[in-house]
Amino acid sequence: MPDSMEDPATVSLRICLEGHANALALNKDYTQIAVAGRSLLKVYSIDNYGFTESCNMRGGKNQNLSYSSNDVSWSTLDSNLLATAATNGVVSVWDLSKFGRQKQLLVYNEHERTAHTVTFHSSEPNILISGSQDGTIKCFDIRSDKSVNTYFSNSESVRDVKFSPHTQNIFSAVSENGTVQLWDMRKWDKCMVQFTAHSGPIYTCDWHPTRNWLATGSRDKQIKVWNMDGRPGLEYTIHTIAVVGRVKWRPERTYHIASCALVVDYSIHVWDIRRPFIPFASFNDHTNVTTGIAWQGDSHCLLSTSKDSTIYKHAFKDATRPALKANAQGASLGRHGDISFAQKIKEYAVKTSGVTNTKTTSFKSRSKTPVAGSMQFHLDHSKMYKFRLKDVEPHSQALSEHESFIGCAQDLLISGKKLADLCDHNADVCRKYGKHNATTLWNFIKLFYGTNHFEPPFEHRASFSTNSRRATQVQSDWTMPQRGEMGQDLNGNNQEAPHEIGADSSVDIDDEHEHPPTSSVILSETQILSEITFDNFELLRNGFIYVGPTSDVSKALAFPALHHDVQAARAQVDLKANEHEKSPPPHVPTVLKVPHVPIPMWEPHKFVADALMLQNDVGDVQTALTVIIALGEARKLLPLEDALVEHWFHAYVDQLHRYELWNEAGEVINRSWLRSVRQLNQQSTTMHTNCGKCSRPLAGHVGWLCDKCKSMQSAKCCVCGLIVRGIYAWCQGCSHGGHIEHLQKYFAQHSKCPTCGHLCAYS
Amino acid sequence: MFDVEPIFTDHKDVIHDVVFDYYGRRMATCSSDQTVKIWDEDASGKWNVSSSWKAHSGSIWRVTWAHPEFGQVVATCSFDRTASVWEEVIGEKVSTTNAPTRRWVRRTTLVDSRTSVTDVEFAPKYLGLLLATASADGIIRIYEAPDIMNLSQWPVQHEIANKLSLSCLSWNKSMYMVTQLLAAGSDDSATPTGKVFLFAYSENARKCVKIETVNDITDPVTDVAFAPNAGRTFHMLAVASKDLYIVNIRGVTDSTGTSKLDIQTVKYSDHNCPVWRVCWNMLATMLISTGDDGCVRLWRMNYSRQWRCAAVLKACTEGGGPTYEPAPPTPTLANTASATAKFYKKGTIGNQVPWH
Repeated sequence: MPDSMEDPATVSLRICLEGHANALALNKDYTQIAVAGRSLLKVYSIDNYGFTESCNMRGGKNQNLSYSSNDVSWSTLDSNLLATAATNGVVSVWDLSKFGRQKQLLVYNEHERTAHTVTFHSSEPNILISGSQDGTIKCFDIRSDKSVNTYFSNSESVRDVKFSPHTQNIFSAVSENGTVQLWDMRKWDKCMVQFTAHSGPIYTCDWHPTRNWLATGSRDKQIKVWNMDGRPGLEYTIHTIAVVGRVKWRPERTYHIASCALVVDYSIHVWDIRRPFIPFASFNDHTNVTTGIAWQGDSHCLLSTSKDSTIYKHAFKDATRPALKANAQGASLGRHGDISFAQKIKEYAVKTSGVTNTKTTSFKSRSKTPVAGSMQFHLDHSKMYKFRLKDVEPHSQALSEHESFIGCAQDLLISGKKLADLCDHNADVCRKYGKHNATTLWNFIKLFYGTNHFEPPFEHRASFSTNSRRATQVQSDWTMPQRGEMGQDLNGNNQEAPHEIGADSSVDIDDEHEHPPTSSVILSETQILSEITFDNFELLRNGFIYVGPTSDVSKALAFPALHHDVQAARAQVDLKANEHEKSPPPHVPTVLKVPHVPIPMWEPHKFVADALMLQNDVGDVQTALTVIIALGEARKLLPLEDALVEHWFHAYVDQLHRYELWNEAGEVINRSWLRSVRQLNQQSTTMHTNCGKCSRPLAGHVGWLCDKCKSMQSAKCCVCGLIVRGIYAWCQGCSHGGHIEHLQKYFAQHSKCPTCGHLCAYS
Repeated sequence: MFDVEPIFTDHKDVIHDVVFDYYGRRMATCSSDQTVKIWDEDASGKWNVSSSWKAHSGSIWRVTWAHPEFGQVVATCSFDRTASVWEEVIGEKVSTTNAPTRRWVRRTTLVDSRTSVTDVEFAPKYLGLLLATASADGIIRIYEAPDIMNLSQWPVQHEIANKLSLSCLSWNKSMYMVTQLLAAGSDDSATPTGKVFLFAYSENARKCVKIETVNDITDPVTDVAFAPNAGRTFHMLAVASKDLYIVNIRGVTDSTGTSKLDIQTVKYSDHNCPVWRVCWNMLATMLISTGDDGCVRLWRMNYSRQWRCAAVLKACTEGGGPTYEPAPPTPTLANTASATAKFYKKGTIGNQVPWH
């Protein structure tokens, strides 16, 4: 046997045939292939480069059914003898050595119905058997023109017969009722063994070349391997994806078997029977169902015919390996940062066979150590691990995100207090959960917006930027007319209250003095500096706060380096003044300490917005959105699009939902000023009402009038007897109710329902 | 620090997918052994199989959970060329345990594909009950259950054919500044072209079309995953290929008013081996990627908007064959005799790889 590794013919070649092929057969030297079909019977010689037609036994004229073959078989001893089984039941024997076109040697017209299969005896050159739809198996001797024996299988149809390579004169027959029979061809009266192998028709069987195993393929999509020593026992079961049409053991590989399907699946799969779930290799070249398969002597070449009118010679190394393409790992991140990880374990062959593993074993290395590759394939399995977060170090806050998220979600306040208090509280919460950047951000928010006064939109600044004033005027400056704003509740509760920023610009300056600035420094330098960690250094550099490069003694922060008047910037004195005027918290003294730093253009609202965006981009929508909600009306100062904020709302609500923080999600939705977000709370709640008297559903146009019994019982207060307008409270147990204040009064003294005596009182 | 704990799965073959549900309270695994298992966490944090059933007649590649609003629903896809939708049905209470019986019922089998169905994923909730499948012949199919109460009807809404075979897909979770996007990756290794595609519904063509190919990624792609959009202005797509990629997609509208996608691809080659899987956490602050060498890498974004490998995890079994990685240079957390986790805390910018 030539080694296919050196054989250059390890490529798939394709030739066209006329008509569909139903079966193929190889001669004993594997040099010629016979292909049989409905109007086809040809012999090709196989060489390294393809197929050459050597004989065509179908002329154009003979169109009778005897030529329409279901199966073809080549004599195991004589390379010139072929047998075919025809759809009309005729079994023909052909002699290739005959001269002329007419090579038909014998015609046995004995089967009453379609002959499905024909096969030659493995050692007796003159004996062949055939199986038919009529339920019989017939044995022919080519020296006679009549059948020698007939075996009655007691089933409707015999689909396949195969001689055992291990025991003389024994053949197996499989039939459409799912049984396997073992016959001794010398005893035609009774089969030796009979057992039910499948729940559906069996279409094919094949004997293992070395072991006493019989493989069967069935319409139940399974291939079963039976140990035929003694009582037949099931050794392996392979679940395929389609009805099994043919099976063929792979030579030289104990556990490999090739199969093709009768319908649906056009591929040929080679299975390792020890791993019955996924094919070891697949050939996907055919464009219609494969009808015949045969190994070309060794394990490297597979020949196949198909209804797509082609013959393929597949080199095994060109096969796809579904198992290698398959995703070998699975991983998922849980709610608590834990990781579930399933991993394919690569088993290693015994050390002598080298260190190659299953996945990378190439064709070449397998031919050197013939069993290594196949030995490992079936050992593939997965191990699953759970990586659980534990003992979080104080500095690796990063890894315990879910805790800080849940904690912050529960503890952060978004309303109900003055903004300054909210900021203080929230900064503490963030510090507690290790979100130092968020802490800093909250502190700045307090610094910027923590008073009861808002900056006007930035456009207005131009009008007063020329008002160069001296630093000593700070006290009055910071409440300039342009900043006139009514003192308002910052917590966002009064969204209905109209705020027309800028419209109040004519408010007299004296009014503003009612709100003197607080003199305390909200965020001390040391506090800020202590929180400048590596992480938020980026934040600083991005312009949120500016650390002077010539850090002087006080390490001052050029904090609200606010000025856009370039002219003024050149004059240091003016600069100081300008800073004092325009910085939102002009009472922070540190600004004055960095006179030599070139101060960039700075728009506070934009920078707050940028800080929120950054916070958000690194994955902390929680802080960004909470800040916006807490800002209340001041949020309008930030140059953020509504669409983006809406996007944040949806993202944050979704996160809260994922952690099952329903109350927190509800509160966030309620605080929203965006219609599309508020609607989230108004969806998918339906209330069904029934009449309190007749219990029928209330479907009328008037909510409380029952169409059926024309009563208004369900709308009346059971204490005062009048129709309730407004809030109607009722007992869910007896469905009676009424005015809530009446009920409160009533149930202060009673515990039973005034109408029916149901024990309504909540205990 | 991480604990590692082996989970005994009882899967008879390779596990191809592990997925948590929307809340992270349940877990589904699927395997080549043609079974799906549903896991529930008990009070002590241990995962137990609550259901296991044979779902297909071929390897099951992926499993995906529907949003819990639609009930306890999973979809599976398989080598047997089908995808199936399963729903959990609560039966009567069993007197002994006082817990109701749970069983998963096949609601539908989607048989349109002529080849292996390689990935399946439910669309985000706001699109309704939509299911996308990718198949090895390169066809993406989008199915919709028009009636969410009836999970047995799934007409095909869209069918998009591609030249390359597809191995994975992912829905974008948000529509900020972009139309609804669907990403798919191809495991084709024959052509040197881009392997990640973006699809969207085109109003003009009235059908889903391919709108973009990420040309920077030319190696076979095994997994794609859109990050849950945590309010970001851009969309992040993690791609597992020969290396890990993160694709940032930003919807931009140019001066003429036409919107298009601005796509940036960043490559992370820390793995030094093929990457099989990528998965985001719920808050989209962390990404894990798993390499062929069995290492799980944890990625986090720093404040300059860069993703950095924050940790490398590896579980190795003792006695499970020769170990092929060098001994751990850093402390090993040994909690059981059978399994150990090696955990490497890495510097924020460090690029060193502890082995290879």
